Amino acid sequence: MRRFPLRSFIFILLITSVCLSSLLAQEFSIELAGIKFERGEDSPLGLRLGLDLEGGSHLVYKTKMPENSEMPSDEQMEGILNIIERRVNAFGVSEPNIQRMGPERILIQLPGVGVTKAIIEFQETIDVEDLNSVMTDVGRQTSIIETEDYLSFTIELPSLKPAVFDTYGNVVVPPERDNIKNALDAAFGPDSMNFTITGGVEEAKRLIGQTAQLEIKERICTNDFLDITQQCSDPAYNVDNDLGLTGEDLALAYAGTHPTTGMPVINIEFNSEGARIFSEHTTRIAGTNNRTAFFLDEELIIDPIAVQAISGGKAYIQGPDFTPESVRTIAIQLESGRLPIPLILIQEKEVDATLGADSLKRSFSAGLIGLALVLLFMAAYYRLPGIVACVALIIYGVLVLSVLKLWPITLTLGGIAAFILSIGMAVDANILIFERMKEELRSGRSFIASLDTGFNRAWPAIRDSNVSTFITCAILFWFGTRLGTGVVTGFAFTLFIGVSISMFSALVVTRSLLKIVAITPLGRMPSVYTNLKLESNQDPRTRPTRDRR
Amino acid sequence: MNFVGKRHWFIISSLLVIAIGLISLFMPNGLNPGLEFTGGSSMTLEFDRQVAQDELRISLAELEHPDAVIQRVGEDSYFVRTVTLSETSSGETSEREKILQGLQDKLDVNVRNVDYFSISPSIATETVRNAIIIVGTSAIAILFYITWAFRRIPSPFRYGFAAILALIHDVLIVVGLFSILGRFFGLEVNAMFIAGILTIIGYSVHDTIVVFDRIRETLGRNVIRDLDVAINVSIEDTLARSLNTSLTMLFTILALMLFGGSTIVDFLVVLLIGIVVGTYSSICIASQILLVWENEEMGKIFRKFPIPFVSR
Repeated sequence: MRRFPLRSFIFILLITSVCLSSLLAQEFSIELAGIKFERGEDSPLGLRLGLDLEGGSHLVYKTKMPENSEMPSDEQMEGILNIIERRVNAFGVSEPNIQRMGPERILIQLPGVGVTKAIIEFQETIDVEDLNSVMTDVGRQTSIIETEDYLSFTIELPSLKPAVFDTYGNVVVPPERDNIKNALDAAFGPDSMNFTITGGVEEAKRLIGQTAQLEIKERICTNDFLDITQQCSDPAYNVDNDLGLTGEDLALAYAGTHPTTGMPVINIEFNSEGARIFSEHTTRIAGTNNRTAFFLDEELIIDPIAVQAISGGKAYIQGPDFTPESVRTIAIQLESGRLPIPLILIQEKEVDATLGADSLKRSFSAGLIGLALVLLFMAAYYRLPGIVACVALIIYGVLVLSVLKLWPITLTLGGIAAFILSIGMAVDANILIFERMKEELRSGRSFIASLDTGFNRAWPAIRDSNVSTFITCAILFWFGTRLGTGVVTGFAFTLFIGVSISMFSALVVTRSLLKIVAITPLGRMPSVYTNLKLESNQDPRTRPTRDRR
Repeated sequence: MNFVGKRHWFIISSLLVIAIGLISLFMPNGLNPGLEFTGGSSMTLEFDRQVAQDELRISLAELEHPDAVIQRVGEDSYFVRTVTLSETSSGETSEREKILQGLQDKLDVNVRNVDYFSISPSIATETVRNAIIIVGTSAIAILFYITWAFRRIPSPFRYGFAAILALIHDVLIVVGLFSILGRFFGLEVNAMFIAGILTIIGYSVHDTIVVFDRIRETLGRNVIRDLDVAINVSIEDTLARSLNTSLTMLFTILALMLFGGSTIVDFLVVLLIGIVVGTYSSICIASQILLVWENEEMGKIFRKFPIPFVSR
């Protein structure tokens, strides 16, 4: 008689309850040793949903390098990302996701579709005329307002204006979004509504399509009073004069260290025309409080003063608070403005939120029906072990969903397909084991003995077949980004996780549960675990074929 | 049951199905390439009243898209596929906005653009190349792995090679049948189709390895020395598992097909065919290739048949 597998039982119980509670809590955040861990969002089970399930836009850009030149360098890509991030963020769409994809592509995901829209959800029904007059007040008299229930309104706001900042990051003109929100608050009361901005794809595309502009200007503070850092005490007194110096005149910008002090600096080099203008400019401002201001897309990057006149076109910029990281970022920004790399839109995908929600609902119910069928089949065919496998499969489902949430992995339609497929693979591991157990039982062994042998015999097949699936997943994942659609990578990654957990489920969960069953009286009742007629006294070494039986 | 003795029948019928599929494949319009392979733009449009397909076709032709492919997908919604619509950099309206506005004006309906997908033609050729690389690399990696996993039994390379042949068999049949089905149901080869083929590769090898593992074990026990008997016994022993696993897989796939969205139907069709074929090939093809190789009867399959089942 075996002992109760207490340790593995507690382990399974613990891991299942942790995973289950992580799924049941819609959103949670844990702070442990200074590391903040926040997961979950406003979606079923708090899973992170891809655009095909949640709706949204997905733009893929590719760099267009000059003829005969290589792939863009990592620094160049970082520069491009930097520019896009600033452009898209300034624009005001909520939660844009901008990331590099492979060596020369950039993926931009926006939560909405089409032109910019404001979605306003009121708590109580309101009159459209009231809303109309608010929109007229903020200069949007012609905006299209749609509603069905007088509670939730959609207002199209093409070319919503971003905020205008001065060079120190102070807001000069607030974003139009805030204007509208404030006007609405004043008219209807501040807590009476939910206000979100979505869409903005057309606008974002226009912004991203523009080439970056680097301009170098002379900055004069017209106010005599300077603050402790020698900056204008009131930024409004700054005047920026054109020098006729742009990114085209810059030959190189790179991060480095000062030859004697070892402090991080930014090295810049001008071409001959640039060197001439720069020399004149620095001769004029040397020793004064006038500055050399570098603007990227009209946003100030850095504005050093000139210690002395610089001829020859080579200079470095140093600062007391410079770190190796900050000089690298600035150098990359200057470089991306010096040699702007055009981007071409190679892929665009937009899915309406209602279509996404529909796909999600359908896949979810389909998954449940599929799972129910599998569970029924397992219980009917394999009886008691089958029912144990059902429990293990449900635990399996909880674990996979929980890993998807905690990692977090963005769940797409491809991911759902992979999840359902991995249920199949998890079932397969159980079937392999049960078929082996049946053989052992047939050769006259006890339930407990055949349980151990069954698992051991099934292991090589489970291992080898799953490793080959892992290999396919790895290759799929590797090339997935190159294939251009997130569908393939999502599929590969989810399948990988699913198959890994399926091995754990079969080898640990099913096994421990079966051991627990084996020590109960059920373990000695052959009819509950097999529908075969047992043939005793057979030599276990010869395998009976079906012909002879 | 005697599987080994019928090996020539299995191999010949498989070759026949493959041949039919290949004929369909190489006839004009063998596969309907999706946007990922041709480049282009597609969108699903929802109208707020019934619009006849001809009406839509005429309007799109007037909007300079006479070649647009139009498919009805719902009561008031259509799927429209055109050449790649160009983007604008400045403030003008994009081609897509022009189409939507144009339809709204011409048909006097409200148009809702439910989804939109666009891909530039230059990327499409890359996609084809990458797809071939993925399939090829996977096959080679799996070949090496199986050869390594079976290193303790004689001629392990044969096992790897037989698994790959079974895999190619499965892929050919799936692509062939997909081509035939595509002629009737307008199925498309898209990124999900590739994901499907790759899943099939994984599943086919998975299934084959289970049978091979059994052969490895049977031979390792040194009770049965003849390969043909060992193979037959192994197939019989794993038969219940093979069928049950496919059955459970088919349950979930059918549930997805019947109750899931239409977005991944192409993918599910690939899986459905692939799992049936993969199960068949693991039983009737992969291990039979081992035996054919062992007996060096490659050329004899057609000449000297039937080959008698060598009984113990």
